[in-house]
Amino acid sequence: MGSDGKQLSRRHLAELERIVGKKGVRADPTARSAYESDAFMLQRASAEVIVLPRTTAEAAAAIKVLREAGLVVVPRGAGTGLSGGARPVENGAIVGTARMRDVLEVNAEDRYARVQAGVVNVHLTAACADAGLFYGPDPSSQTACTIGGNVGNNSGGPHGFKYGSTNRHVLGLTMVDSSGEVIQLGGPGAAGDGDLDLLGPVVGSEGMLGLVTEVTVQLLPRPEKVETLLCLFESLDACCDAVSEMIARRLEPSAIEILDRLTIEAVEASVLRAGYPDNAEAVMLVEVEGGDEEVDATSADVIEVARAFGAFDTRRTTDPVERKRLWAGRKGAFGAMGRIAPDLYVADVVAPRTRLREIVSAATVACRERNLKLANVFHAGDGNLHPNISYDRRDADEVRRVLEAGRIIMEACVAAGGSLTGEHGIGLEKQDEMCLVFSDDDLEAMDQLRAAFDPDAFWNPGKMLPVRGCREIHTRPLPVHSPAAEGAS
Amino acid sequence: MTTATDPTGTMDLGPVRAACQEAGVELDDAGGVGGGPVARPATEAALGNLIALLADRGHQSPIRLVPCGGGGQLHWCRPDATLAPAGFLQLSMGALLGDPSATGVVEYVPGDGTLTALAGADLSVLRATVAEGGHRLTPAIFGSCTLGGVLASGRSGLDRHSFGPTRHHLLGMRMIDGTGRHLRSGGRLVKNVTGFDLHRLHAGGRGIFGPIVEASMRLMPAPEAEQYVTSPPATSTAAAVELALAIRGTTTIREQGLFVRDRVVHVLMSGRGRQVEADRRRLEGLVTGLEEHEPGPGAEAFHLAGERQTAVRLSTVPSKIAGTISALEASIGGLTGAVIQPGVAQVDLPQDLISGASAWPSPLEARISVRGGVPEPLRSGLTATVAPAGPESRWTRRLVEAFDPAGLFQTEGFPARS
Ligand SMILES: Cc1cc2nc3c(=O)[nH]c(=O)nc-3n(C[C@H](O)[C@H](O)[C@H](O)COP(=O)(O)OP(=O)(O)OC[C@H]3O[C@@H](n4cnc5c(N)ncnc54)[C@H](O)[C@@H]3O)c2cc1C
Repeated sequence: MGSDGKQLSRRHLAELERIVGKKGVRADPTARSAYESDAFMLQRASAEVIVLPRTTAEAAAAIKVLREAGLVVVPRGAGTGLSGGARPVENGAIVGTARMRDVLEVNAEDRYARVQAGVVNVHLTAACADAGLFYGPDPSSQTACTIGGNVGNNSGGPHGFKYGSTNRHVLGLTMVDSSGEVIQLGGPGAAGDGDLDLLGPVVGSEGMLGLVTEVTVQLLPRPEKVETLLCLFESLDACCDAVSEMIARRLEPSAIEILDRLTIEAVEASVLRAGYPDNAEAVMLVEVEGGDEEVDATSADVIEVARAFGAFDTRRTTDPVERKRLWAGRKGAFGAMGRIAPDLYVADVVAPRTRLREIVSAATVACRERNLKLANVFHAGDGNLHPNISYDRRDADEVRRVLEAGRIIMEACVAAGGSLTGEHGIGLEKQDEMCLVFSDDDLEAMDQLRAAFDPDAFWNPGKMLPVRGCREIHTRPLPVHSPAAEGAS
Repeated sequence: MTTATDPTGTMDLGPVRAACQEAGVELDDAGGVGGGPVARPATEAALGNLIALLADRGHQSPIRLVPCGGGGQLHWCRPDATLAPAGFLQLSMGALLGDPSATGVVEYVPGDGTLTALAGADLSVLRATVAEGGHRLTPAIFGSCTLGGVLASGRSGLDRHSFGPTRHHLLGMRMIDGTGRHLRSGGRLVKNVTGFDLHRLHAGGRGIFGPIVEASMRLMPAPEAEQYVTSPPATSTAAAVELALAIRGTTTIREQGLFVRDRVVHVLMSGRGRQVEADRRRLEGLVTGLEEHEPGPGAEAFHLAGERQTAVRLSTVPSKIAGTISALEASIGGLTGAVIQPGVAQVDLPQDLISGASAWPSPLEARISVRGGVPEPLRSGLTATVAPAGPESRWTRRLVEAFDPAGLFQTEGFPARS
């Protein structure tokens, strides 16, 4: 229904079809149901229409029609987001980038690429491989997620330890604003220093400031040497402590990841079979990149620390095939957990890197007390924990316990000086918890920032910022979400 | 909205004095940078109150505020306030440090590689603090400047080559806006995507959204070894730039900093000891007659040799820098230089170099950003290049209306609006 309570008119539908072609407009129940949620499955809603433009010009023209029709818009990439950012909203259309998949330019000399927002992360790296270059951010979902979605959530990935999240790689953007105007921010060769940085707030804005249609990103030269290390521990705590020590010693590998026993078992039982040993409580997967000499020196240091903290075995490889297999296990870990239970709640919090063990323990206790199955696989080097809780969404009580545990993990993290989310965003999942970190004034200021870009709340309304004031949230206990209640929303 | 319209005007200090008294803030009529009036708040609460009071009165008589660290960056980002200091009330961010011997460090967590400090903290003091724990702080800008000043002016150092711009290492901030609200954005940890990044507006915002009070930064490990080497002078700036581009083009030399000045290529290498040695040998295969310089602390010598007071900065992609330099030198009749980075190359033009110039070369395939006084004939050529149109201009206007409705912190010409 549009805001006037009527369905999107035939005229508007026809106009949209004229702009993006018949294949680019879907209002049938099958399509609408396919777009009901992103990978945060607990909240579903139906879009009025799904529009899939092929170019910036088509997107801009479609936005004008949707606006005239009285709809609001949720931008969407591949829908792999884990916080509900791409879930449809009431009176809303989805404008997706699934047909904007062109790599427009790879400039090897100046080391940048210009891509349409719907380009899948891993396709970008493939497109610049011949030039000896790669794209830094590598979310574990990289075979599906889009560069536009990465911009929306300021996504990271295992190698974010060295290369940082998406915001360190975006040089420029093309966006469509709520009046259908196209704007270009930054671009190759723009230093941006000393200028007002509008690009900064847009990256990570969860689709609430406009539709990104093209992205210019920096590319990095492929390192001379890459070595992958596997360190095996008898205890998860010791593995966490070893990471804290590596950070304290200021070692600079490019990735430090941890997988616990349950994750290892899930991966090894799946098609991925990475070759992780079955006798370890925790595996630390480390990658070291650079020149021959620095890789040798850093790898030796990593192994020394791991052993000092009780690693009972360490392995190292520079063989590309073996390395690929080890990483496939890590990157496919969430998927592999599908074997444990039908649904997975992927928490995403950041702890000070001096207190990794403490937060992992808090998550373990919260899940044990609620009789929930917890598996840990996370970007340990950044302190970015992903306690993964398996559940069955048809079991309302289990869902309640999962969300309760999730909330406790967030609270423990914030109390330790950590943050609510390291890469998955706030979306619908953590709106109320924003009050754990920010005051009403802070949140009002964020809303003012949003309104400066989008005065009519046309883009992805009702996400990220809490709907209720913090005082109300603090004084009244949070309602516990239940899928039954949310199904209709 | 009140805006500063008369850059040479003197501000009526009457309402300022009254507000300072009410907020309990010390006012020194002529003790600021360039002899301008300066308010020295002892607490953040007092500073917030003062701004709130002035915002309420701002509509009656134009009051212009400028947050001030050591004043070292003012010429760079607020030339209006240095040209006519009597027209602005400087807000001393150093006063918030309290005791003159205070470092301004709020929290240095060596085990997490992060630093939180007050905006008025001296960058060199912060650098020394984190060096003790084996870290370094970007930007590597030497000389007197404060953390808040460097962030607000959007400056990066020559270490931008290896770390990217300073703003990429800014983790979070506390600030006071133009209505006196105390705000917070981001956090203190190295990874965080909680909420909108309001702090990114303040980094490079030149103080137009109000003062930065505190900032948290990601730190980098101090390198095991550093080598600073220079090439013999080339036949021209363009030839030296070509050599620098060749160094950048080899992925087997991991240079950490690279610039050309007076036809000489300056290279900084740092990292693990044996790697730096190996890279140095490879560099010798590319450039004969390398001269090694004694690295100062944090390769200070390299950074000092490369720093330049800039009136105008040109930025372009590396592949276009040699052509840009040749065209520029032909038109301004002097030797320039360039900073070469992985994805961007820059020419910093100091005032004296462009003072006699009458026009920009045409075509000029570079972005121009103005950081100080620009001679009149060149100024006219700039307007079209720097003023954005459409949504960007509207967004900027609305941001200013939201965070500084009384226009206390606004300045002519920034951000450029159509
Ligand atoms: C198995 C699995 C592993 C994951 N691993 C990681 C990981 O390692 N690191 C990590 O950071 N994340 C990870 N994620 C989360 C997710 O993949 C990322 O957030 C990803 O960037 C989302 O991309 P998407 O294309 O699917 O975007 P979507 O989910 O479609 O959208 C994400 C957000 O961005 C907005 N958006 C999308 N496209 C645009 C656009 N063109 N313009 C404006 N806004 C837009 C949406 O409105 C939404 O708010 C993982 C998810 C899964 C399912």
